[in-house]
Amino acid sequence: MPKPRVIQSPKQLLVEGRDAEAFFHPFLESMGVSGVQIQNYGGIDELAPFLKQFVLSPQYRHLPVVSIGIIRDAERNPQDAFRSVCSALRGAGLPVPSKPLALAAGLPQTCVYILPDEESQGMIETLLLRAVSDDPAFECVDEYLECVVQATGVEPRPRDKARFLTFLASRPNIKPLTGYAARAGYLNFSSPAYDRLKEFIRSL
Amino acid sequence: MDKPVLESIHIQNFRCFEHLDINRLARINLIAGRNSVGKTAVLEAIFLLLGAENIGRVAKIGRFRGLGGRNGPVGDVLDLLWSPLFYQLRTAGRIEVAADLSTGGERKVELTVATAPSRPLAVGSDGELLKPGATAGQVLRQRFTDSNHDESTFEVRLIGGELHIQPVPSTQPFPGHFISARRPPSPEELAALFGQLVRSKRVRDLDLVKILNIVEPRLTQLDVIPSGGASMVYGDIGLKQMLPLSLLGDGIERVIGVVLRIANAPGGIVLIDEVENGLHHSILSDFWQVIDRAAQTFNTQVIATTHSYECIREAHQAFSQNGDYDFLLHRLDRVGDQVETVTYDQEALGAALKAEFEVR
Repeated sequence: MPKPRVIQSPKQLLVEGRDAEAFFHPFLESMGVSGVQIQNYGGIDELAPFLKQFVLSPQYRHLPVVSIGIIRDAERNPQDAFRSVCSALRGAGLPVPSKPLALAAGLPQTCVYILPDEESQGMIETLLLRAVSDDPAFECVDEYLECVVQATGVEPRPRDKARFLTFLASRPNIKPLTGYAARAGYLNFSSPAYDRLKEFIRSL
Repeated sequence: MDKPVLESIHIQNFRCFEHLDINRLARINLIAGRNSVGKTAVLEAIFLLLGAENIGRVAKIGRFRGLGGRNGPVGDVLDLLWSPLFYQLRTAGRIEVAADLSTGGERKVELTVATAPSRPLAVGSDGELLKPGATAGQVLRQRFTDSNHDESTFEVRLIGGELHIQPVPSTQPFPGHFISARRPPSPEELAALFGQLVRSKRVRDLDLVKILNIVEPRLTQLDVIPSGGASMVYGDIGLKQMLPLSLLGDGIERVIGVVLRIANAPGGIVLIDEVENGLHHSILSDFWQVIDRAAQTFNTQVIATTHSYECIREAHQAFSQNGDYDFLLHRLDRVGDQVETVTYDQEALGAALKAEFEVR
């Protein structure tokens, strides 16, 4: 049986799902950020119970954890997504920020980032697409997906995920998973599209 | 269904606890935590409280730890049995163990060491004590109160190398058993427990063979058989004769020992130290199903300690499947000089196990 996970760092970054977890490890490395532990809380419905058990975890008070950043996809409504995170924070007895990117003071302090940003619908792939949208392959990506719709009558959804995965399929050494793609350097970490996200991570 | 006996427990100045509260107790409780944080000490405190009418329990919990023999002189009692009961060996203080009962009342026991003898000591012409081993000040006093305003005080004295209890202890209002990690049940104990269940006609409430099949699928029959002046529980696993359960493995002894004690403590409490001892991980789920059913059938509360993540996970999954989840995990955390309790309910424990987070 693998060893259970333990909290090892006073700074915690909680992300939604395995793909996000695989992305943020190389992303933080590219930023030169160390000392932030990344935790995958699962799906959006799992954040509330995850936080509830997280604050009970053996090392939580012992370290202690001083900073928690939570990243969640906006899905259809970034304001609803932010409210949902706040509700989960409240349920776990944690400080609740007033808006995305704002720090809620306390021990620990908390901060929330909604992907792709606090005003747009979408998900992590939406942000990743912004970083690589200058790539010439995108001419073909959208043409291909349009061709699929014409041929099958079915539109691949979510659209941004379909565009992003199609883009990955165009790389010279195909890495279909976000984490592998990130490590292979396909995601253009130097793009200004990531500036606010980097600012958020540095604030932890 | 009746509620389990204890709703909460509060401990002061006992063993490693200056102060410890467990504010919520379920029917089935697991206590986890690092080594030497006090998991066994919690069970000992509850054991003292259950038998608050019997100060002899103090010597018993010493034996659970491997201290003192069954018979014969006790030796230097204060150092070996009594002072280690007190937080930081401060025998000038007072131990308090209190519990809120599901009946709405409270039960409390207090232990103090008297510093002066209340009877003179005989001395010979050479100045030596006429009763060897008798020493001034070795009196342990136990005071028990409950919400009916009943109050009793008992004393234990060391006289002539023996412990003397006064007054004679009375029976406790609800039954309790302590299953030690170090001391497996003797064959005679198992036979006695089995016999009590038969005598009370409650053995029919348990299908013991089916229960033990989780450990030994070949078992088809159990019986109590006198042998060599004592009775033992024998099992038939298809050989040419039946064998004592002690020859069928630790697992089968463990399971029957736990189940028989639950069945023999109706409306009471069974305390189990290192519950997973002797059990292969593959049977833990079935084991917890058995415990859950037995505890509900006999209205017995179970409070157990564990080091095992698998044990916790299998308990959670077993109780989640049963629909009536009456289980809590309590972890003891050392914070500086103090020990604090962290309690996981079903939602928190489920999330922790799903995320494969540490909970011990």
